[in-house]
Amino acid sequence: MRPRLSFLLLGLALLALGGVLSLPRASGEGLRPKRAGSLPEMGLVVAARDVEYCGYHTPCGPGSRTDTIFYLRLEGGEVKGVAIPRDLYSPVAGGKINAAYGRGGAELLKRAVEEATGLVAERHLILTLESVARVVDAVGGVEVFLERPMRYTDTAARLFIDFPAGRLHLSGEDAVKYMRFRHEALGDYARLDRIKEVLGQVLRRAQNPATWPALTRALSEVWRELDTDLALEELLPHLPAVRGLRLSLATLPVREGPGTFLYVDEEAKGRFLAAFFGATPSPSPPRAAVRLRGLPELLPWAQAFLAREGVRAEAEAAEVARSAVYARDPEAGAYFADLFHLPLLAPHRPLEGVVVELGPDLLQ
Amino acid sequence: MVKTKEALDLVGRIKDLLWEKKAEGVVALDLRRVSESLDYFVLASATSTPHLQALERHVQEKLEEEGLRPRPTEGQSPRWVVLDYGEVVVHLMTPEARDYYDLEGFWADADRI
Repeated sequence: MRPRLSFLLLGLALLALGGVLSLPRASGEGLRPKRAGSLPEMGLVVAARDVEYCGYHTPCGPGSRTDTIFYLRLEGGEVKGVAIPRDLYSPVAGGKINAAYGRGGAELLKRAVEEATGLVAERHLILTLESVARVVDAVGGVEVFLERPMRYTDTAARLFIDFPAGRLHLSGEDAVKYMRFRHEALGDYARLDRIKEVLGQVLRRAQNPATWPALTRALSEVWRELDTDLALEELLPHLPAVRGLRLSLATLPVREGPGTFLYVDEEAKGRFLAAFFGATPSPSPPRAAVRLRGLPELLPWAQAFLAREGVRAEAEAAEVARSAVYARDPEAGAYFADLFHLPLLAPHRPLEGVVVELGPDLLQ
Repeated sequence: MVKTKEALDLVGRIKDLLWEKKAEGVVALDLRRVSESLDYFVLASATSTPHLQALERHVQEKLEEEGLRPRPTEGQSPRWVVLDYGEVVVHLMTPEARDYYDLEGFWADADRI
């Protein structure tokens, strides 16, 4: 099958934008037609609550700690998100930032995120793990590729992870496990990279109109569990605009400090934020090494496509779960993400140049 | 732009099937000029949830007799059903949901066929 550019264009979850996609709550509520304009602009803190324990080995619902925290900026048909490591020291919270929500609710969490990033957080969306799983299921799950098995048992948390190596299709529940796992060399940073990967896939799948009824239903069911100041009615009419949404995700630069705390790397932060939020794809290709990885049948096409842009790229046949552009340099990454219409995922792990991964989703 | 005859035939067939079951506001959109990844939408309104389900069943059964099955989806909503036949995607909605999401308004520049 010819890899029509339109398939590439589909590349791009945001559960934050889940709000954009949900039907109103009860059938008795009046549905007031509204004209959809451009997507609303906002700075949004999205966090996921961990599990609360009522006793030994007794998880009893969503807890007050938020180990997953993202700052998202929605502007001009684009979502740019910064993951904030959970161990970041937050002066305003008086401890790790993942405790801010428990100490002062969403308002304190927003202040802590603003303090860390220097960016304005107007709105909040606090998710539960169950709601995340439900939404992932609604878009049909996600696909991942594991280079080695992923195994972890925490009996107290009733968390049992046992995934074999290779390509896997994960249900919502398994995707949550995949996103919670951090028992590897890069620990929490790798966890944040996996969350970015899943968010990218969820948004990409949410761009398919065939998922919209299931997605709207799921979101209407989970919305009541969420702590948010986002009104569904405010966001709903923008559903079709999700199709054109472009996504970029990165991690806030931090440095290690005393104890188990991390601290914002202020010098790197300034450069990073200016480049990440200010990045607009340049008209000409950036000077960066480009590597194509993925399905052998797509590589020659992608090489020829890049050659027309004056870019020479190495190609490597590889197992790739889903398509995305990976780059640490936001400007170079933005150029190629825009060119291929794929999400830009800036990983924490070391990465040279730009890697464009081309997966089977481009042929579906 | 050359129209895909098979897709257009399918659009016409779906419209006929929807009219047979008294669907309201049956509209077909050619999205190829305004979207890089979508081809055709057929939109129709049902007067109630049972009517919505009846429309879904009728289209699905009749097309299945002709060897056409929609791509699997993860579930539907009581207000909105999608049947995905590849190039042709059918949106069956309650009038309220149709007004609310206003797919026709969003793709107002699409050609009606």
